[in-house]
Amino acid sequence: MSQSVVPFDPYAGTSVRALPNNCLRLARFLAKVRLTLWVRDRWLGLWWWLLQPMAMCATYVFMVRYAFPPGRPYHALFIMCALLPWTCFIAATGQAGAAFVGNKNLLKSFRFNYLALPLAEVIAATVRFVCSLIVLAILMAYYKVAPTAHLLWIPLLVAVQFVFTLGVCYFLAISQVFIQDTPNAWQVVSRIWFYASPSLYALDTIMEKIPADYRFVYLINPFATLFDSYRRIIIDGQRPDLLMLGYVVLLGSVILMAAMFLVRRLHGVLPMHV
Amino acid sequence: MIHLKDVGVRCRRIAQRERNFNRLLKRKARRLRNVFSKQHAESNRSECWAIRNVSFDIGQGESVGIVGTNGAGKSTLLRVIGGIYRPTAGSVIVNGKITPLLALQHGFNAELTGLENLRMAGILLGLEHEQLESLIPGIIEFTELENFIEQPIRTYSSGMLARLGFAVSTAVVPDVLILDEVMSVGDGAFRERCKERLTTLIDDARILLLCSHNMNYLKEQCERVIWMNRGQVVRDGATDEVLEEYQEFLSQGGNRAARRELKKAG
Repeated sequence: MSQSVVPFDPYAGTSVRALPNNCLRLARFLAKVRLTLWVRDRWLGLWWWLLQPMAMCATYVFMVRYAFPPGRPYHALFIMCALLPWTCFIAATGQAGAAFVGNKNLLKSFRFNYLALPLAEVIAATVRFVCSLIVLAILMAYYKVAPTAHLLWIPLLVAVQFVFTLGVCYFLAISQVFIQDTPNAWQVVSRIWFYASPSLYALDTIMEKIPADYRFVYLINPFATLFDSYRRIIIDGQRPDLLMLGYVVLLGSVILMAAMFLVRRLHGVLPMHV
Repeated sequence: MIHLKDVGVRCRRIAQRERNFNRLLKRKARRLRNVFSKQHAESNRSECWAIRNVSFDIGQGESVGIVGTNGAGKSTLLRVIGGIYRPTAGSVIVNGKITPLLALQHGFNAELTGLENLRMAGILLGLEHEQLESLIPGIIEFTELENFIEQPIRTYSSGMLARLGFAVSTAVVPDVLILDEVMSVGDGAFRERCKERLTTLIDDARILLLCSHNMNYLKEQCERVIWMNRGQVVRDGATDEVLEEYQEFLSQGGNRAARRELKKAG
């Protein structure tokens, strides 16, 4: 029974400094809870994590093979390299965007670091994503793409994506507290974002069509780099573009820092508004 | 020690919620019409304060009750003291570890089992892992829910939930114990044990803040009562005096009667 004396006033005590230092533990616990709730009482349980990406893969392969002119080789693998990270991003932003609004009771009855709530959702989505990478392995085996040592870059890519996703999620979660339209707007934005990223087409093909002076505009989108890196690593067995990856890391950390700062500032204010 | 000075909490204006695109269009249209007739659309920008200008001190070992009608700002005040809300104005100083027990069972996740909810509440209350694990058997024993602890709590009755909530938040001895309407549920036997547990907590020279509509319970537990109405402190004094006045206010019809009289007077 610790008897810590916590000074408390509007500017020091309610601040994050006086909070119990349990943010990461809480996030880990909540992520575990989220993951167990996904599989608990489901007849297929964990298999859903494989079935869902497989079904999605089948749909897109069908679309690309029959609805579009004949594409490049390995197109199932090619598309899944982009679709799986994107699904993770969408799942994370959907779940974590509602993290504050959906955990009203938690926010109103406990004193804790709000950063933990969206973090938990993003962790859960990422764990699911990592599990769904098995689908990529299956496809690699199917197309007889030989694994190379460059596959070791994948954890780095996942980490980069995690940082970027987390930052975006914090902003979405805060925005949803104050503006109820956020999920609606996000649906539109994310749909546009998906087609603006090299998801169903290759980065090289789009780059050829854009004048050289304006290519950087397209590359602002971190998913342009991420999708391309996944493809380079998995299909071509090449090193990702480290310079562009560095830019994504920088962008992600700037967004994350800003979001964390904002959440800290809003400590004690968010529960009033959710 | 709790020290509150001129504390105010401003809530979101109701007008803001009504601010949407359709209304904006209507307003613009009306304004366009009014340009010719030179009328100005009246703006109803009213501020809404959940609590306003609340100041009091609570010393070591005091147990204080808070009464007031629904929506008087009791829960908001307790949340401010518990460090959940940051006051818009004024300053709050609370020395000591606070456990806000604001109807804790609402913080539980219905899909999780009782045990998982206990763990979650423990982490949220800032317990260390070992500390929590050593406390859990005691908590389960206190709630007498051994047979149900592995069931998801959506299968629990409200009484069982209240037991769980009470047990987990009184498992650690806080310096400031905040109870918001927690004693209203549970059967007789359990309530007796809750009282026992609370008495031991209060005896440890710690502060108890109790918010309840149960006058008898307040009379038993508190030596001082703060009566709040419309976000402000009306009376602050010895339990019997304040409760007497409060009961008189209630029997006269509360705020509605007061408003009627105000209207009559003009």
